[in-house]
Amino acid sequence: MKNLLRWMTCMVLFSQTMTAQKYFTKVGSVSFISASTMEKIEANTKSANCVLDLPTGAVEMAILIKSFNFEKALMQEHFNENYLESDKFPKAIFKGMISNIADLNVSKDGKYEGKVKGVITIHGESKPIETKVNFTVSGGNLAATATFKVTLADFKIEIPALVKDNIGKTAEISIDAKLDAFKKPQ
Amino acid sequence: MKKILLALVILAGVGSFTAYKMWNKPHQNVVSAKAIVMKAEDLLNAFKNDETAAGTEYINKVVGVTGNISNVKKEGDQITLQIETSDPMSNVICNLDPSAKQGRVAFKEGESVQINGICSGYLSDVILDRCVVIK
Repeated sequence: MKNLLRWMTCMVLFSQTMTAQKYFTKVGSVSFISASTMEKIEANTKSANCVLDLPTGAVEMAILIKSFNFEKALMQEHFNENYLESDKFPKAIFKGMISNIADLNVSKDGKYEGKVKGVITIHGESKPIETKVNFTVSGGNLAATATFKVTLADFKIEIPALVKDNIGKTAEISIDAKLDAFKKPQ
Repeated sequence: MKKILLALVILAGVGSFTAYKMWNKPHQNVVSAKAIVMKAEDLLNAFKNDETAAGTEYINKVVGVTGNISNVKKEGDQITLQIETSDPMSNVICNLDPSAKQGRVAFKEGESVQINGICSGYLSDVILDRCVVIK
């Protein structure tokens, strides 16, 4: 009886460590580059929220458009006011699933490639997207990076005819997030 | 004729100078601007209670928050400080401006600070960018 009890306690503890596995960050980095023959526009934010639920592979990410930093104040102003209309649409959100999450073993150091599929919402427009995520596990830490391209027209981001040639039609987005295991605050 | 030409040249000069100035317009100066100074707690609560109202009041403005540091993150030259509130899940996140002259670069968890920055809005935390440590 005592043994059974001990065994059950063990199982409960074990299953908790197995399932209570949310990984998150509030300070993920997201940058984008949009290049045309005329100029290269790039900006980054260090305040991306990202949550990954390990048993299910559900992943969510959110960023504030206004937190993108540009080198030129004028570019930042145009980006917010004319193109992304960040007063109206303050956030960009991604929600999706990593289909092969079972391959990711957070207790074994190494590199893993995840396939992620979901919906990205920018400028109030939602688009399905599929891309790869590169996970690196080292010493219990989980880092994730991803790079993909978006087409501005898909998100109804209009570029005035006058500057059409100066601004690329696509933007390459890079994500770099170091995720921490979620601990319930005491 | 000469006068018209001269006027045109001056106009072109002024025009290109303004264009150049506008193109190189500096970012809002966080140090010299008059900041709305408040507790990190109060800023967070303002966004929690009414995100839209708090947005019009604080976003894109220079806000100074006071409180205790709950977390320090360094990545390259980017330092990110989290200022504690009574909500353990939400803080005020301050991204220090790596190109600005900071009074210091060493921070301890628990110490009390005032940080000025430009409010970018609210996700699960209130985010301040281009921050400068005041004290």
